[in-house]
Amino acid sequence: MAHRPALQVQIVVYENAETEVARAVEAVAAAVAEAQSAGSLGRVTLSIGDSSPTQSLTQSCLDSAQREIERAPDSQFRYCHFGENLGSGGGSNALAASSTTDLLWILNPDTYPAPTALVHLIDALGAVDVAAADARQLPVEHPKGFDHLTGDAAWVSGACMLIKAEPFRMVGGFDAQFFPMYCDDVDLSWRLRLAGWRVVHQPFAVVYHNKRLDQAGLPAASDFEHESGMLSRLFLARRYNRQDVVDSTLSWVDSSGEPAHRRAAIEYRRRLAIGELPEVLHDAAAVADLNSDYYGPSRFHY
Amino acid sequence: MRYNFPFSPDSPYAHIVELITSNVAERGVVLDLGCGHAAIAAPLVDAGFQYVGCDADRSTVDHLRSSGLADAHLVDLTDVAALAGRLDQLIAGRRVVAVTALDVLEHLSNPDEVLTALHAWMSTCGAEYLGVSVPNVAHVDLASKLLTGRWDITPTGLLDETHLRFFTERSLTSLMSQVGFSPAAQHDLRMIFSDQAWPPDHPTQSPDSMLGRFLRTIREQSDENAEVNQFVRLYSRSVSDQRRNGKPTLAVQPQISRRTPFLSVITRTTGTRETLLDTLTCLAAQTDDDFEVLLMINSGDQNAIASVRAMVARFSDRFQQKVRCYEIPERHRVKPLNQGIEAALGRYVAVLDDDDLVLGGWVAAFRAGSEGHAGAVIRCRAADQRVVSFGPNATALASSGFTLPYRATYELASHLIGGQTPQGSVCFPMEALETFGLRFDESMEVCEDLHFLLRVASICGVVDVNSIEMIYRRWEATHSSMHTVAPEVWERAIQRVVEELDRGPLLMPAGTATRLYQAAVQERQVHLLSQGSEALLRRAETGERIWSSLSHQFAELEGAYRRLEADRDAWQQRAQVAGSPSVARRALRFGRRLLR
Repeated sequence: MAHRPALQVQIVVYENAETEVARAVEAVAAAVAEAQSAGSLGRVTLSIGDSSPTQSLTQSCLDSAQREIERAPDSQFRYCHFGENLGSGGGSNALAASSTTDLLWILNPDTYPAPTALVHLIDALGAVDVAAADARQLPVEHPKGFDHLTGDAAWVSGACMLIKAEPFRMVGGFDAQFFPMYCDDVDLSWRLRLAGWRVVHQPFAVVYHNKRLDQAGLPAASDFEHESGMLSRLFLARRYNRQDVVDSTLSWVDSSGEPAHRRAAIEYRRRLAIGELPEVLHDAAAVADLNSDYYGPSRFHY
Repeated sequence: MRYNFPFSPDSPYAHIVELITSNVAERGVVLDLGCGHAAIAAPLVDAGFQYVGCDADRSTVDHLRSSGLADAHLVDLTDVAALAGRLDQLIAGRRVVAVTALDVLEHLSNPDEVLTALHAWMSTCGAEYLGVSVPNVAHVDLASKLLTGRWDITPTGLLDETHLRFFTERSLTSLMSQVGFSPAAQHDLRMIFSDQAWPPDHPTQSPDSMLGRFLRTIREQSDENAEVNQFVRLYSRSVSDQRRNGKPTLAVQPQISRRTPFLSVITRTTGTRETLLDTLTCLAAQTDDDFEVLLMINSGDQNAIASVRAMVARFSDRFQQKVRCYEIPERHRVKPLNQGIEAALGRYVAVLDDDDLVLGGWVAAFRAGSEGHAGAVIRCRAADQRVVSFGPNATALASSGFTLPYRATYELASHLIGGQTPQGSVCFPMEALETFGLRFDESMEVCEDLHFLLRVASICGVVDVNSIEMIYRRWEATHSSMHTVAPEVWERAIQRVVEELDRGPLLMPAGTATRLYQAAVQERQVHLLSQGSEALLRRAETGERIWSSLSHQFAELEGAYRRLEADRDAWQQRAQVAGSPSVARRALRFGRRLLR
């Protein structure tokens, strides 16, 4: 890594509220300022990619985002309305493709990184074989496990991930077939690990991620999230050559009767029929953990 | 003369004389405006002052003069244009050290103008002190009577039929300050039962009735003047002219706009916890932006203070502008909370500790709860999560999922045992805290939050918001007070809270009758069940007794039977022996041989 690496912060939005995006940008600007003043960061680009059908952010919102980020020295702002819904992974790939920076900070629009988050994430990428690091999410902390000494984790979350551009490109970025979202970060992490890279969790980097709890005290998931999550699980199982998991998941879904899950199964079978499923990776058993709830070891369960 | 009240030790006259003699060092003239029968003349003269009396009633003045008070003068206070000239004339260059107006202001239609003219004249002649006595229309007797629609004007007393103006402490202090007088000393006349304490047995008047006692408690919580009959106050002319712009007036502008921001968040920190970053980040990410954060840095350690300030300074400008830091060097669990309340500008106040987390809709949920329920305590649901300390700065790392150990809704009975509402899941209406001076009890070692919640809730009621918006993090090691405080200390504190609530009547929310009814039905069911079980027990005991007696009898019968059996066997044996043919034959043969 360069002494003062250049960074692209990339946020893909899809009809998000402007106030939400403005808060995320505000937090990014503060985190960038902190990292620059700590001497661990060079030039910065904030790239917002818009997957919405029509441009979802007004000019005044974009102007204030630009003002916010350009308070940092050597910084620039980019906004791109894709004109189509590229999904989360596809949008991130598109933004990364036009970037020349050393690092990519991939952020969900519904996040608010703490001002020290970026410094800690950069710190976590110190070892040459570490490709990516993710932050500790609040207030609903992710239960996935990590090595308390090295930070090594099974995968890192795309909600707030700092990744070196070189390994990102080397493995081809996100697989946009994980459309529109979910588990594309697990897939990216596993492909990085297959290529010999490490991914780490950085608990000192704090990021607020907008999650709600249901009446039972469980992280609330919308119908869309249930459907997308199930479809992504099937994609992952398919990609990592676990037909047994695909079969058992489909038969469970067929019998469970949950409408969102059934829609996911229908979509999976549709894509199977037209040959639009993620390419199968053989010999990936070492990185792919499809038996546990959180695609790897976990510290606790929700 | 209309009034001729005696100079008793417990009269406004005695109180004002005491105030003057103990506060006015210089000897000279005390000018008594509206002096009536000059009740304070003799004691003031005894104390070395010269007494000059003035009254607007000619017969009063004549009477005083004929009684030997030469310095009695006719003065019409309401003629403010002529007042200064008239006073100059009768003082005639003598040194005036104090002016008094006892039970005068309430009889004037223009006390504001009279006081303004008086202030100007006192400034000219160098008189320093003004002593006044006015009746308190916020005496608990009047307040509680008014609630039942009574406002009884009387020939004399608090509602004397000749009173034109009415004073509370607030309005008196405000008027005096507008004119340019600042409080120097006070010795109010207190009466538990004023002249308005009638009719007898009136439900709001009698402190022995539950309602009367409750209203008295409420009135006493509001300020210290519930039983003040007359404000007896000494003012000094302000050194600097603090008069506000404009004409002094008793009228106040209605305060119709609500306090802003919506919420004041009070966060205590010792400056040593990295978890504060978690808390602040959750606050910065709130969807409802209308709040402020009062960061009470409870530390004397400059490094700790600097690190907290630096942490705040790293946030965006928008968030930094919401945060005010206060340094409180004296380590104390509770005082910083009260200091936070004093500094808070918000409509509601919440306390969020420096290791608590909130969801993004926390402020928004409180606001939603407040809509249609203005003035109530708002409570959201809270979840628990266990955390372990990780790394050099004790980062809180979750070690469990969420549990829901707290009641979904607020209810007094279940709250009395404590532990049902984490501090960060509730916000309090500032207006109630101000009105009743409600603060956290600084003498409590633990449970000050429960104590505070129960007191505020018992006045304002609680509105529950259904969503989970706050996460209480429970350290697995010995971090929280739950772990370090002995159970008996908790128990004692809770007992104290209960005892305090027991001291007066309790206001309960609508719907309580149903809850009590349900509780009573359950109690009756338990009673019936226990009665039933007692009867069953009794029957079982009887059964046992019968059984034991039966089994005893059975055992006896069995013994008897066995004996009969044995007898039968013996008899059978004998019969067999007797009846055996061989024996008989042998016997027969033996007999025959003998006979042969």
